[in-house]
Amino acid sequence: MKQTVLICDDAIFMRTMVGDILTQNGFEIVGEAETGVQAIEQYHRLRPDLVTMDIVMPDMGGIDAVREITKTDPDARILMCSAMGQQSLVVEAIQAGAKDFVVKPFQPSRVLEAVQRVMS
Amino acid sequence: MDTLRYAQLFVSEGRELVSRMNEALLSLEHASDSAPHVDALFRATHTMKGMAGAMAYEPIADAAHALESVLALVRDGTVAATPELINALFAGADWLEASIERVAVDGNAAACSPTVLLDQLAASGGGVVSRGVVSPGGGGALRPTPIWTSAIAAAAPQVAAADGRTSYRIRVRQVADAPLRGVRATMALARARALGALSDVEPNEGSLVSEAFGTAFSFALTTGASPAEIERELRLAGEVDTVEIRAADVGGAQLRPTPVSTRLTPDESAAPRAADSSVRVELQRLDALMAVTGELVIARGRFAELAARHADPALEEAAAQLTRLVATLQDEVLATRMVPAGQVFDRFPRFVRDTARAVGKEVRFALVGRDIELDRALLDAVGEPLVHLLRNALDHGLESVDDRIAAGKPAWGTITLAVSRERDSVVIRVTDDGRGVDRAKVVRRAREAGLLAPGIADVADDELLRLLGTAGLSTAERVTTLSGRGVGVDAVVAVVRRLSGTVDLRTVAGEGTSWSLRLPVTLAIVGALLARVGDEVYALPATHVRATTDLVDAALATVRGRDVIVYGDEVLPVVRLRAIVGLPRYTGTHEDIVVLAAEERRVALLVDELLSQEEIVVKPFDAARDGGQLFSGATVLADGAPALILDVGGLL
Repeated sequence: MKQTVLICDDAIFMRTMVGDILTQNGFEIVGEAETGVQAIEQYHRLRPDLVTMDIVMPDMGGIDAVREITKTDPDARILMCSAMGQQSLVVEAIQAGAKDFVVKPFQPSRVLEAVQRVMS
Repeated sequence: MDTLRYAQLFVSEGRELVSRMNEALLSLEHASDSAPHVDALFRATHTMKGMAGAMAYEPIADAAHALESVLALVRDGTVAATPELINALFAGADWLEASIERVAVDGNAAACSPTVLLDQLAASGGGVVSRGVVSPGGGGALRPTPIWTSAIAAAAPQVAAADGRTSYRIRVRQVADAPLRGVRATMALARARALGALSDVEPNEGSLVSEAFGTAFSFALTTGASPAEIERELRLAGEVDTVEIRAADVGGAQLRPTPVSTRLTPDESAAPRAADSSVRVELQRLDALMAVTGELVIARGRFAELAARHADPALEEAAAQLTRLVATLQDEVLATRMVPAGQVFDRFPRFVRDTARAVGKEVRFALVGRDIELDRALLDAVGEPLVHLLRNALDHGLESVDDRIAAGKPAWGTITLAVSRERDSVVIRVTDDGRGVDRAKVVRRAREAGLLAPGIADVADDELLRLLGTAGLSTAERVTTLSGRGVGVDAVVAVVRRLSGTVDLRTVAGEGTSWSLRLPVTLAIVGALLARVGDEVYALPATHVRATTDLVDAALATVRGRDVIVYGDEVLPVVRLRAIVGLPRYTGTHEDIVVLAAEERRVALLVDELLSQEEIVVKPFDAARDGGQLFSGATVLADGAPALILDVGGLL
């Protein structure tokens, strides 16, 4: 059975890109979220094996979403998607419970390495 | 992995560790403050465990672990270092040594079984050390995966935590172009924290978060996790290139995984380490290098000779340059062969202790001059003769405790092995304060054996040495398994002569005996005087040459039917090289004289002509088969002709 992923990003371009990398490597996209609130709602409904989470999203940011999700599911496998120059935010996200991170622009090999670490 | 290479490293380092263990045990036996020696033992044992684990030599790792467990109990005062326990630890060191030698032969530890040792250790702990404590695989046993390799590195000696956790110094290098490396570093530290107590982060964590560091950072971690587990955990932080894990408490072992990828990026934060400036080289390689250098020396000589025949300044200049370079190369190669005497002699304290126990003697042993450097090949060659002399001193030289007290001497005997440099030779002395060689008995036996004329009642030390050096003559009252019937002195003399050295004996009844072995500093290349008789050229080792002159300067005289030469204020017996090598007596008008000396003895050697002083390359030579008592070796001269090297010690 394929492993499932929930992709959270407010930009369609980024969702598509992450989605392509993951589907080409055996993941099934079970949901896409554009805001933090959607991310939390879909996580609890879909129970995906993996979540990719953008840091800056409208209405609720990625870090708060991580906090909410890990509050009820500390083992949630969340991979943060960050832009360059956001190291303090990434550190905060990791402290909030994200398992790893990737930095935009995405290099497929680095994304996959990070996914492997999160899934191990 | 180049298993054979690592096995060799294991063997050479293992031998050093066992030697260190023996040293510490010997000190422990006599010291009032045992703590530093127990620590030293613990460190050596721990390093051994790590190395054996890295090589997957399970029996050795288990035995080392058992020893370490016992030592931990000794260190924290749970178990006393009783003589029984120290003996058991000695047995442990012996077992490790035997196992290392097995590895040296087999290339693996499959044939090693520590069962008996483990039982012995358990028995010696007086019930406190249970079989359970010493059984393998206990708490904190290091079980690295076979990818771990071991190398010597300087490490701050810290003591391992007593609860089975180990202190490591860990260095993580990240992939050079990884984004947000500071975040990765903090993730790695967070994972390390989950494993144990983290401290000493270098550079500090603030610098790490702001990425004010190169590609590497390091920290101390005390944990129960194995190095393999630590590495696996750290790699999960992402973008990790290499992880170096060094056990901080073993004073030397560095455990380092084979890098997954080899990157040639310079390491900005790496401090130079002293240990990195030396490499281990197999002795055989040095021998091969020496042999080639020797050939080069000969070729250089030939070239210089040919160049001299052509009056060509450019050729002469080239020859001179070659000569200088070859001389430098020779010095460098010789220097690489020089090792401190302690490398071989450090095993003697243990040997003397065990031997003294076996014969029931009390002895204090002193090793003097262990830092003096000698050619490794020469050191190895004198090992056996010295064992003979030490055994003789212990078995025959030293009196029993009762006899010593009756003679008004201290109850314990003293044996000294002293190494010293004297000019271009090395003198190794074995001195004891025992009863001295029984001259009367040697003389009686020698007369019985027909070695001495019946009328002679006493002999000087030189003659005594000659008699003792004759195979089969012994004064020992009883045959012991240790030194047998005086066997050894003839063997000692033979070995030392083969090494172009001389033996000297001084002995005083009731006061003791001193053996001196005088040897060239190096075996491979020696200075020699080349002398011609008839058409033949012979080499006289420069170590034995005291002076040269010609016959007209020195007055030839006859004393009691023997030719002597009055040289200065000395009267020296004359030896004719022609007579030695079986040539007819010289009929010319001018002969050269070489004054040869070995210890206190001197002779004047008459030769047709002295040619030159050269550096000669000593070739292996079976004196017993090829040259009898006359020659100690052979060499090849600059013109390619062979020449024999006169055995001056034998001549005198």
